[in-house]
Amino acid sequence: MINLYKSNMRRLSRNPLFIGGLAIAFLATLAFTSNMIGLTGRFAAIENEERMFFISIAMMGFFTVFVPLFTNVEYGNGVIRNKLVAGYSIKQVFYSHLLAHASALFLMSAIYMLAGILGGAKISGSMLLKNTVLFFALCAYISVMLLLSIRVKKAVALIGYVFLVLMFSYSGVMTGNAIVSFVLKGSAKTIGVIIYNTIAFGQWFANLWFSSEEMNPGNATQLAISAAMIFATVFLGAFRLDKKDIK
Amino acid sequence: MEYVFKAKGLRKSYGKFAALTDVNMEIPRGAIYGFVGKNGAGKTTLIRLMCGLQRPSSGSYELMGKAFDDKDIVKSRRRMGAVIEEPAIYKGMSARDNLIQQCLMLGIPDFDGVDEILRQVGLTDTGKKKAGNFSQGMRQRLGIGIALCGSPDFIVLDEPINGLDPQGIIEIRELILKLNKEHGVTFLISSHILDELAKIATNFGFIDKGKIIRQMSCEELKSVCRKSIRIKVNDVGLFAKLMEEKALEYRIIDANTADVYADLTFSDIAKDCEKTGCSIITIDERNESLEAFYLSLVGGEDYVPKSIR
Amino acid sequence: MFRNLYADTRSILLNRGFRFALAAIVSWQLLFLLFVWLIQTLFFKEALTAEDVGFSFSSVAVFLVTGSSLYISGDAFSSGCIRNKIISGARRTEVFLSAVCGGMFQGVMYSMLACVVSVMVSLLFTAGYMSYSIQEIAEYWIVITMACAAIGAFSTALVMSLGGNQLSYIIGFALAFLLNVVSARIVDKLYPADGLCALTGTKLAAYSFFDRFIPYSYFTATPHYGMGNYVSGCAGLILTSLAAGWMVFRKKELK
Repeated sequence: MINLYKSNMRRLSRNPLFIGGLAIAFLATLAFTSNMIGLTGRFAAIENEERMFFISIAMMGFFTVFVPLFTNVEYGNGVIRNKLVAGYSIKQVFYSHLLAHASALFLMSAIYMLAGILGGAKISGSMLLKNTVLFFALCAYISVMLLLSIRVKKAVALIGYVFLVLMFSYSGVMTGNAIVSFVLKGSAKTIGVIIYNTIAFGQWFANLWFSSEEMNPGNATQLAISAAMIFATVFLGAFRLDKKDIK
Repeated sequence: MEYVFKAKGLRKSYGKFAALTDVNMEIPRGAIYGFVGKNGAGKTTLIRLMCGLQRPSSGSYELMGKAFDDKDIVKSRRRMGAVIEEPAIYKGMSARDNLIQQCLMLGIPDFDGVDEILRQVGLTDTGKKKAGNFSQGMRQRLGIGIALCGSPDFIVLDEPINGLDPQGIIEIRELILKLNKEHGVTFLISSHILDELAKIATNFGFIDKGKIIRQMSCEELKSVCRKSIRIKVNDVGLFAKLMEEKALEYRIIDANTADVYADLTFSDIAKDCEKTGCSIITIDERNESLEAFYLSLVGGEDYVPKSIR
Repeated sequence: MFRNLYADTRSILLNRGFRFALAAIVSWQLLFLLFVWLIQTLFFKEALTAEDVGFSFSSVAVFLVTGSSLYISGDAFSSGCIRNKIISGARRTEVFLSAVCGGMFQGVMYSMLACVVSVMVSLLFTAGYMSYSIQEIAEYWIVITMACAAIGAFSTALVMSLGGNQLSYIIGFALAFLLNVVSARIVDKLYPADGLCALTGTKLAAYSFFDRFIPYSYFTATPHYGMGNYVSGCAGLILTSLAAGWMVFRKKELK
């Protein structure tokens, strides 16, 4: 499987969308963190680190597009057949993509951190912790994208589904804020907060400076939720995957 | 005899439709196995099973001595290459990059052989051109090149000369023969272009309606595809009477033509025909083509069209 | 031209994606009814009104119409149908117009079905409309239908001009998502729940323009402008899609 991972990483390093994404991540983070673009109002009043964290959600948007495009090539171009003929299983192809995308996220996060620091964000324990939590939340989101990408072969249907997930993430968080704050009480509220934090967008929102504290169950809980999400989606993604017939 | 592939009672069904029924097949090591069948006969289905893309509904097969459900079959698959239907290539990458990807995936530590493969399949001049912009023939060549990565012992080619120009067909044929003779590579080639297959195959397998109807070596095929002498006469009735008297096997093609399945001397037959009042117009030697043999195998003698009789 | 229109309409009606979208509309409205009924009964202990469930289509309309028209027109490209039409002598203008009309047809059909289901659900399961007159409800559905037609036209024109590329799907869906999000924010700013609108100058003009003339925003709230604004907005998107798309498609090299 290490060979599959290496071949995916090579493809990643030559992917213009990924390279462009890294460049935009750097520039956007730098510009936003240092307020080069002349933001006013509440964005001007906050610390650089908060602005830096705010822009990090763009990575979620990027991987919504990148993961299906990168992985669907296996079916679209039929190259998954080459791997199966060589003796690999579809599960191994799936895991190699998972590792490759996690590596891509790591690279992008590193570029983002560098740009943030250059933009004036101060390195502190809480800043590193928040970004680590977001990293794992985005890993969970990527694993959901990958679950869809390995299961849905038709490109337009896949892109539709991933944007549907993005839309439900956004709508779920916006509605969830109101439901958790005004409707739910007691243990129902706790469950609501946990469900809210299963969404990467929810975890990001809960860590913003203006978010209500009751939406944030704590960094340890958020990390545990992300780990559980990754485990569940990887399990679902790989479930009976080798039983699929490939044409 | 050692076999690279052995299938026993292999079946594959898609719902109620049985694509393969009780397939028994053996591909000897070192052979160029010509796999022949009509559209929808089950050739590609069997190839997909062989390559591990799909699982059989029942039955079993062995690939280079390993059973299909053996965990070690992975090692056998590493020694195999295949081009199935459309070539599987990264359309956003150049030919060279595609081969490098394949080498990386196979765990080949260096890419020195890539240029040689490009030369073998005739794609040295493609440079940075993306495979998505290749013609059909170029994509086919690249697909074959990818199958050659890692110097496999067994290569499966499904319709390999689709879209190739005449020179390309010759080049691929010579490449197959060279790899087979010099490196002992076994080939399974499925093709509809029977004349081309007849030039290189050492063994044949005929499939129809999901069943292997016949397997034979090249020598067996030659003996079955009979030589005949086609004689055009002015009166085939008189000629037939002569053949009956001489107890020679013959077949009437039309009102003026007959095929005789025996060794004849022209002067003797000319004299005998003159005695009966029958005039010979033309006379020439014929071999029953692989096409005619195949058609008679799948559809019966009456199915063989006039054009290839 | 009519031959093309007939062929395209027929292929849309027979397309699996179209039937799936129709089923999705019905399922969504029924599921939404069930969800709201549970919330009302278990938490608020109030009777269900038609306002609670009658406008559920607007929350999925943008995505549904975008997805369906992208899928069906993308299918026409990938199956080679567009190529076949041009090979058999159909003019590019006719092929393009016919495809865009097909996209509009889809939008209209989805909206009409949603309207029928909404009326039936309102009559059978709710106490009726408390705050809206029949004229207002009719206006709402006319605006939604026009907006769906405009979005269908835009998505189809996008696929045709990009040649059925994956990029067209990404742009289509990304726009649908972004404009949906932006619309909600704009409506929130223009008509805040507490107090008056605090926007002024260029920002107010831009936000108002968006709210009045961009069909994607028509799904966020019930109609609050004159019908002329909505007709102009939808017509503007349709004409822009037709003009820009046709200019690209007529010169496009097809593979």
